[in-house]
Amino acid sequence: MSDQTTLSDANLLTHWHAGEAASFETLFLRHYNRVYAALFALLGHKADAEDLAQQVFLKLYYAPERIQLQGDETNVAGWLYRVAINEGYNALRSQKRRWAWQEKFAWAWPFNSPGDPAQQAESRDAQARVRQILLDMKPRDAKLLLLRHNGLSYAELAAVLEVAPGSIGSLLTRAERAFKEKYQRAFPEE
Amino acid sequence: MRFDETSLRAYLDEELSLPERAQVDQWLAESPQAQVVLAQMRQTREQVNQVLNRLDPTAETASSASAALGKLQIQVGSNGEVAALEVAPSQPSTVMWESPSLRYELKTIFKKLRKGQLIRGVTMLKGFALIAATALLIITGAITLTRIGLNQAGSVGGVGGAQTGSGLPGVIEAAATAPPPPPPPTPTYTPVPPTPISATGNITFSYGIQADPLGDAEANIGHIKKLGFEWVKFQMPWKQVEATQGSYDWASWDPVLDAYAAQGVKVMLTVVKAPDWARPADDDKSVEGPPADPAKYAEFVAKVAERYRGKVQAIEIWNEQNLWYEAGGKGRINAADYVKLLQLVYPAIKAVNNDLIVIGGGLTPAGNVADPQNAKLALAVDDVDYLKQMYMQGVKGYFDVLGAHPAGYSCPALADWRTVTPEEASADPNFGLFTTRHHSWCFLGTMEAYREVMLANDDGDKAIAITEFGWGVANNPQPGYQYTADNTPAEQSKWIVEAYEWGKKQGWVGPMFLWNLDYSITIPGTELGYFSILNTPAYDALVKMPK
Repeated sequence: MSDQTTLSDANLLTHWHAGEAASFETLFLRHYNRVYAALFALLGHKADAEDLAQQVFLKLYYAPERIQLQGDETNVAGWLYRVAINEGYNALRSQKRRWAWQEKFAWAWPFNSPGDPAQQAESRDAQARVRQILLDMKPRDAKLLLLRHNGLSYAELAAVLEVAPGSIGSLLTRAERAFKEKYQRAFPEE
Repeated sequence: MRFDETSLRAYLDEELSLPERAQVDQWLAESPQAQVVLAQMRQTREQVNQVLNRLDPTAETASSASAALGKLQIQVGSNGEVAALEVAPSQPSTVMWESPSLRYELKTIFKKLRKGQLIRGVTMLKGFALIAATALLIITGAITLTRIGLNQAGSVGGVGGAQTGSGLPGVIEAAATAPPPPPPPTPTYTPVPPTPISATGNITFSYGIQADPLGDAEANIGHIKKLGFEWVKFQMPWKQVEATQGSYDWASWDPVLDAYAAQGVKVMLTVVKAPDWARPADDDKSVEGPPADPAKYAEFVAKVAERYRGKVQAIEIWNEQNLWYEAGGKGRINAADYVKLLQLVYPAIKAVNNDLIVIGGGLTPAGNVADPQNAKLALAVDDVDYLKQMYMQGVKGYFDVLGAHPAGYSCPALADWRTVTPEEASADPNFGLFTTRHHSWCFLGTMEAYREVMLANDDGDKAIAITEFGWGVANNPQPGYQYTADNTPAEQSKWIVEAYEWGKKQGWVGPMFLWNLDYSITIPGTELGYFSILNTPAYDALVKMPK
């Protein structure tokens, strides 16, 4: 049997369609970290991000035919990240209210190692500012920034956003300018 | 090729083919304006990425892909269908104010505020007064050294090997006798389809005691029968059985477990202490710790459950994981990681041995204690806080019984930690409980606190198994055990009997394992012996105690 790690996503998907469990495992291990990182960037909570990442891969597990096999053009990563980012946004909307309560009572139950409360609060604030700006942007622009930051190629980004690969460059430039302007306007002291 | 913003950006991001790149190189060489635009793009990209970096997972929030894969494989099972067992949500209910744990927490907080009592979390987060800091340093020393004493000698060693005490500073581990053979090929872990959770439900009260697996099995069985007890507890160090990945040394355990099984004594194993090969590369190997990949532990425990079907009736998953030296080092205590471990282990055990009782690892009663050298590193997490965190992380449904180690120190079994006096305890008024009131000093306080947490999480139908408890007695105790000089043999005897009698009455206390039977014989001259009951009035009292 060939070394699975050298197969393209499209080939792995074909093998998975044919019933090879190891192909799914290779796909999983290849993409999990970036899927998780993208979800974590959106949600800021490890457990939530892990749960959602599991759901994304379970969708792939149970219905690989959702990704139309298009030979070498099959964009598995694009499908995965599109599902992930959409799940992330959905979860974000339902979580915002719950977070307000958690922040209020965070002092009552310390998580993990105590750490420096002031530093933790500062870190949370810094992350919250970034998320605030992302959520204030057009979703397509925010998704583009997050996913490019997590290492997706132009081809993968194009599949996620369902745009032509040739347009990614200008879309990315404009998204970054918009983010920078919004951020500097909202937080001029930084 | 068009020379515009799109191609410049693609050039910057290295998304062009080599010929396209060469064309842009030429354009840039000819166009100062293009160079300026490129430089601005680069600067903006770097500025934005710097800000987005704040959202990246850190070492603490990184997720293990292999662990996640293992979890998914267990969920889907080998037949491709979703298992009956669903992963519990890692968060409270969507609407936070409907969460029973938050309602309970709010009630508790306001109750304490009305009574003018400090809340542990507030005390910690608002910083420590000098006196409190000093007291905590004292407690740190006392708790750390005492917990070492309450831990069983860690390294069982091979048959005939030197007996050692893990966690004791300066103790030499059993020496390796020969270089290990090359490891066999790593077997592929094939997830077994989980079966529906067994109806072990509420495990009833019963009598047990911890013994040394290297002790005299026949003699110990005789003692257990004479005491009228049903259970014995051993601690099984994973690192002793699977020192080399994939190679299992059951030779130390088969005859011991056969002997107890042949005489009808039930066995509870606490499986703990990961081998070095399984541990994270960067944890502290001078102390015990969990594996990097919890699936490895699940695999091992499943093997234990399967091999000893009928001979081992219960397995406790880990031990005192709210302490730094069971968690792989300072600052590594993590309730979420422990819950993930349980979420893998529980279905793995049930899949191969549905009737085996799974016990959530007994925590150590403790306050929140940080390293005096580095306040960011936790040495201990308050056990009640830790238990609450476990529920918040989704532990419900992943154990049959909760384990507990309600230590007694010099506090009588039935005393209320809030009000007991040094005179009532005939104890040093300048030690522990009598200088800093906290539930961790008393048997009853710990049990009641755990029960409250379970009730608040609608888990009250589950029992609490006391997997370790006892009172030590010593004339010239080692440093850290000075409280054992306060306890008399008569008090030890009385309090142990009272504790069993109390447990039997509650209806929510499962098996109780006294620490310990025979360490005064097997490891004489150590603090483990302070708690042994062989040749003590406590032994006689327990023989006479109505069961």
